[in-house]
Amino acid sequence: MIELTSVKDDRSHALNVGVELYRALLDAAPDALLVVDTKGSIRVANRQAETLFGYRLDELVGLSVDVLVPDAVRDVSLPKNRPMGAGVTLRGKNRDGSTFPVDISLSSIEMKEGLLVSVAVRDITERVALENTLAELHTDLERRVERRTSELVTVNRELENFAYAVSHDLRAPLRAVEGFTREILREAESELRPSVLADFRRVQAAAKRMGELIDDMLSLSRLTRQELRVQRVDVTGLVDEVVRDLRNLEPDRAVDVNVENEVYAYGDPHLLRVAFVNLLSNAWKFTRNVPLPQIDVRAEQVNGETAYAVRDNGAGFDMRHVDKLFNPFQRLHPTHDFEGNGIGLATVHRVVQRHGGRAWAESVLGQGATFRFTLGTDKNSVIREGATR
Amino acid sequence: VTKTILLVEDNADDEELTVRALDRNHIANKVIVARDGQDALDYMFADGAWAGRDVEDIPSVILLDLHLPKIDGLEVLQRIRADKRTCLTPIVILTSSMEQQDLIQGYGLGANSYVRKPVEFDQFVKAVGQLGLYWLVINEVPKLVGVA
Repeated sequence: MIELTSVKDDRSHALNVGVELYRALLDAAPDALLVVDTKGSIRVANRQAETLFGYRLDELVGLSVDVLVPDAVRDVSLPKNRPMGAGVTLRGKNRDGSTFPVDISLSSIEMKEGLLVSVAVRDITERVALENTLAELHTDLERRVERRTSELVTVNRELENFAYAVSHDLRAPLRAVEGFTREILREAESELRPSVLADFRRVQAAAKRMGELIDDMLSLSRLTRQELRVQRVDVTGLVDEVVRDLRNLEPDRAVDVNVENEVYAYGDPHLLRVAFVNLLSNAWKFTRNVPLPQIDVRAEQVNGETAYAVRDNGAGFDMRHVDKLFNPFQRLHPTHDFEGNGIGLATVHRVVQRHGGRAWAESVLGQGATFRFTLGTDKNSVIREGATR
Repeated sequence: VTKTILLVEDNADDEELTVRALDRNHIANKVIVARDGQDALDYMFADGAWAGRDVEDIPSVILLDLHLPKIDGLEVLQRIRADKRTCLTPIVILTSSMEQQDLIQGYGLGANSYVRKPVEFDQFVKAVGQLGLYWLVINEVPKLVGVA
């Protein structure tokens, strides 16, 4: 008897412990939990459900689940286990009539008395707000990019117009300066003192040079405006052609040119030609006073990138001025030593920049110089083309 | 038949240089100068200040600047080409501009040549000499008799 009682006591104790644990688990759940029967009547609810929907526990139990759903979306069939509302925001309704976005997951529970559905409801107000903020930021960003782009387009157009105006408006007065001094000389050359004649020649030379500068400026700006068309370019062949042209221009010069075979690049063929014409003309020019002029063109690997190198054994330059080398109209040699407008390397720089690469140089004064550039367009890479970068 | 040259040029210096360049090349043809686009069209269509002029007396060549007051050179070109009385007139664009756009549009609208004025006068004289030789001596133009 004693034993029986004790067993019975133990059982009821265990049952009590079970109920307590079940209640505790239910209330410890992060979501509002409801258990609904097939008629839609709420059988079980937890503390979070109480808080979320604004009904007391004892009010919730026995209440139709419909009360917790806004009228607009009251269409709750009872599906099998699955998260609901992918893509659609579901809403719950508080006792005070306010609604809020929710995630709902359903799972069916088979009981002896029939089918029950467990409903987990999570308030996602904050998440939705965050998503909205994110979407707004995104739209805002897009709008800003759009505005910047249109600003850039405008600036580019202005630049284009400027180049155009420079081309036309500056050249016209220059023609007058050059033309009429020439006419004065024609009329009065024999009557003018030598010093006056010399001054007129200076005026003419200056006008001519200014004309060249304007043209250089224009071609530099044209480089920037031109569309970039990237394809595989036979660098070896291109360099050979450029060297042939240089030899034709100065057939008396014997320059030993070595070009590595089978060098290819991914770039705009026209722009690459412009870059090599400038680099090779420089090398050609600055080896003029060397007994055995040599020019060397090859591809090298620099930090995993292909660099194209043009090396000469010419005059070189003082490395202290290397940072100015690629600036437009910057010259490191006096014009009477080596002619030029200081536009060549600026042009190279512009070409390289447009491809997304970089250009640099090293030299020992009197022993030659090496110019290298990368294109940032190694095989298979995609060209990122900004609006006239 | 007098072979006239219509010079459409708004810059007085350029006008003078062009006239002198013609002179240097012993081109003695009559040079009519129009100083803006409207003036050029008035000459061609015998209108405005040129009313009463014989429309059929078309110039042997028009030297046309592009940047002109009132009506710009490209429009002048277009309107001369659009009229059957004047559409066959040889037109040489003579300008400072080497903008690809101007070249493309110029030829697109039916210019016969496009010449950029060089800064150096000697070169300009040479260019004008070649133009004169070609358009006034070598080139043949159809007779537009009977076209009203």
